[in-house]
Amino acid sequence: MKLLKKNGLLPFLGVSLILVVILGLMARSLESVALYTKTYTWLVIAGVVLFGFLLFQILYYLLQLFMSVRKKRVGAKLNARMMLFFSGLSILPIVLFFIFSSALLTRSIDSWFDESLDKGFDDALSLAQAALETRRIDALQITEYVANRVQNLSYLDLAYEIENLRTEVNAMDISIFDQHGRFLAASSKDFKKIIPEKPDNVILMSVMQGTDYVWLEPLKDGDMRVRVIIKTPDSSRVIQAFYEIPPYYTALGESTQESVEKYKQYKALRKPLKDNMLFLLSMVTFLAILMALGGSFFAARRLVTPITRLSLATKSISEGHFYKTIRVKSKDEIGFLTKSFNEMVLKLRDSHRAEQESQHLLEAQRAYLATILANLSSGVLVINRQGSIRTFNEASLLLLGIEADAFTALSLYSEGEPKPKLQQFFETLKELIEKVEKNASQRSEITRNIAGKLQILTIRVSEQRNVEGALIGYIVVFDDITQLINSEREAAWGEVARRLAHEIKNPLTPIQLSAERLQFKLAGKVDEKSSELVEKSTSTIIAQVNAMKEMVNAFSQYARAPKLNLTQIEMNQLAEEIFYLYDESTEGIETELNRESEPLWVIGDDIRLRQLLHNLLKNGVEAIEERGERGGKLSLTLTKEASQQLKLVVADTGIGVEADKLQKMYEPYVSSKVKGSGLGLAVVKKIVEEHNGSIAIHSEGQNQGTQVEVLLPLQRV
Amino acid sequence: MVGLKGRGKRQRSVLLAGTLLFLGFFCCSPSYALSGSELSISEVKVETKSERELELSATAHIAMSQEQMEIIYNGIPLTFIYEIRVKEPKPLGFKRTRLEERLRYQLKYHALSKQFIVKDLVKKRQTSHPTLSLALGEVAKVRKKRLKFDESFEKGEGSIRLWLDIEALPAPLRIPTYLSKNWHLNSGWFYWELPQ
Repeated sequence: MKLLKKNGLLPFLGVSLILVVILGLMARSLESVALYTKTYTWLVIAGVVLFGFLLFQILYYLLQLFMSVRKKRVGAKLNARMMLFFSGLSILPIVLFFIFSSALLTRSIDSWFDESLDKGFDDALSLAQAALETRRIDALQITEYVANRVQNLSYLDLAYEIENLRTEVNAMDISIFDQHGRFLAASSKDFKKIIPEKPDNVILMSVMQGTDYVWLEPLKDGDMRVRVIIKTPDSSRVIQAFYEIPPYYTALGESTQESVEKYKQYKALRKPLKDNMLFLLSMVTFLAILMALGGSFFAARRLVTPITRLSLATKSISEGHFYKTIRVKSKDEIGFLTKSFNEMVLKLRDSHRAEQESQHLLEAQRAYLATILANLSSGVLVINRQGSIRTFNEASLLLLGIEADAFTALSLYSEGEPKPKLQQFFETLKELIEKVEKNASQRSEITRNIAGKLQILTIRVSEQRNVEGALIGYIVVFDDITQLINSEREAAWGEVARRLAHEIKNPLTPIQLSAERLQFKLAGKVDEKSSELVEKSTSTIIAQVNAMKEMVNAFSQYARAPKLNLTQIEMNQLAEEIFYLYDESTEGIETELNRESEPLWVIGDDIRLRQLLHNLLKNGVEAIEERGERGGKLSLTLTKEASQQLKLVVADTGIGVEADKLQKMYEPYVSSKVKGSGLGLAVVKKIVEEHNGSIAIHSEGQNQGTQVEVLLPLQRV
Repeated sequence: MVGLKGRGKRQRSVLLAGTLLFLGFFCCSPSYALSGSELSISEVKVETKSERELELSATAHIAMSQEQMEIIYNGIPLTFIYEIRVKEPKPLGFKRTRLEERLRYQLKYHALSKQFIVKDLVKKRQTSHPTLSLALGEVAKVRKKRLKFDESFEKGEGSIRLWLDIEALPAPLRIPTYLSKNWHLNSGWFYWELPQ
């Protein structure tokens, strides 16, 4: 099967050639009835076997081709079409040839045997027989003469006389038998012949019954003789005599005999001969059809294979495999095409390689840019002219506090409202873009409140132009400068505090001492009325100086550089301790402490954290008291967040904070209360930041209460 | 074969049905029907000539069909073959062939002389007979055929058969005769015990 698949052509040609030889020998054997008689059977068997093999081979190829077409293999359809075309071209003439040949053969064989020919041969044979008949009659008459001469001879005379008689009548051989068939005497021309030929008993009996036997007898060397067996007139003896037929007659007769015999043989074999010839012609036609089919298959395969290879290589190249080249096997047009294809593949490979290199370079640049963008703390957006966001970096999502999908299919100019978090940002962006288009300012700053936290963003918009210089979009770079602003502000306030501490605190002590000295010196030296005035004035001065000292201390505390004494602190316990002071000292205020059952360990400064709790609770109490209504509520809640953070919420039902003040509550000297110094929350914020935490204030408005939410990192166990 | 699938079974059934149909048609066809031709061995006579030599005479019965007679009258010779075998019994029921001979006779009609010629193709001798029956009578007789054995031969069984040699027929007749039972003439083996 492998041989058929790989190199089927050689077996096909070999078997076809052998079959041609076999059919030739079979045809030759039909020329004569005696020729090749022994090998004919083997020829038929070999022919059947080889025809079977050839048929199997062709059927196998056809089946293979059919399966290939069904499986839609490359080149199979073209192969099948070409095979059909080639075989159709060959088979039609073969079939036509067969039809005409068979008709012609049948008529030709029939025409060999007509009645006139029959009669001619019969007449020729009759003529030859008639020519020999005279010789036969002569032989009978001579033998009758011999019979008359020998019937009365004695045994002794018979032996002598028979030799004379044989010589006299010119017979080849004369034998005499008695009526029982017993040998009496004989004479032969051939001296070597001792025992005479005895006639068949049946013939002998027939002769004795009166029927003369006079027959021509063919001899094995092609000669003929006449045998006469008759009885003597007195029926006492039987004479057998052989006579030669002259060679001239024999030759003519045998020649006629041979011709007639051959003609009769052919005539008798007419039908089988015709059938055999038609069978042979059919086999030749069948072989020709098989050869046409096989030849078409191989020819089509030979033509289609390079095209199939080209097709497969083209497909391979279309899939991006540029290494595929085809070996050039022929120097014809297909070879030229293959060579051109290989050159094209080489050029494609080179250009593909160059394209890949530039692609790699581009990707490297893109990755480099992406890395830069990803590592930028500033947010970067690339917006096309239609306002759609084409590119953004991680920082932009973090700064805007949104997920990546918020940007997807989002346009600055889309009809739908953007997310609340983005509304202010987008509005500012639109204004900036309009300004940029008018060549005006490219920079802007917005302040946002994100979940109670203040955020200040600085935004810069620049135009993006292509190689031709056409505007294709805008590049937006924005940054969170809240920390920066706060730091600047805190630094400024720190400076103010230091100056206050330095400039104001120093003269306060002499003022206080002077006032006390004045009170002491003038006591009893002035009249009562003046003494009261002095007393009241100096007391006021001392009180105000003390108040100013407190204020300066507070400022000093705010401004001093953080120097933390970090220890492990359990916040539940600390909160309990601090909250206990307020629980006991506040009248008319409902207090509530919600703590976690498990310990909440933080690394922090115990004193600073106590101050943080004090400030928050004190603010709450003051806010409730300031509202002036009884039944206020103050709560402290500690919860452990999933992000390994402690959430500390101080909530009150006090005067609340107006929305416009909410963003400035951390600034020193800003307070919602009438009495407050405005440093409490600023100090709280500072402590929170010192402990790497965050703080947020929530309030629904005036008299709606306030919630301060502090997040502190928990110690990792 | 085990576990034939449905399709394979169907194909095999179709093949079997086709084969049976073909055989049925072939066996019932006129050319295959018997038409009077017959060969048989009717008598065998064996005489001991010496210690290692036997003389075999046999008589056969030959009946020919009209078709075969026509073939002869048209000058086409028929060849008859006598096949003689002598086998020596061996242990375990095996037999060893000790002698195998063939006698070939050709029967032919000579139109010029109107004689039927019987040729002994082995001895290269021929006899002429005025009638077919006489000629067939000549073919049907094995006369005093000497069978010689070597010294190692002790006892055995002889057999003889007569058959018509189709392979000797002219090539055009070959294929029809292969397909016709009328031409497959064979007497079958006739066995005899060899004299001790």
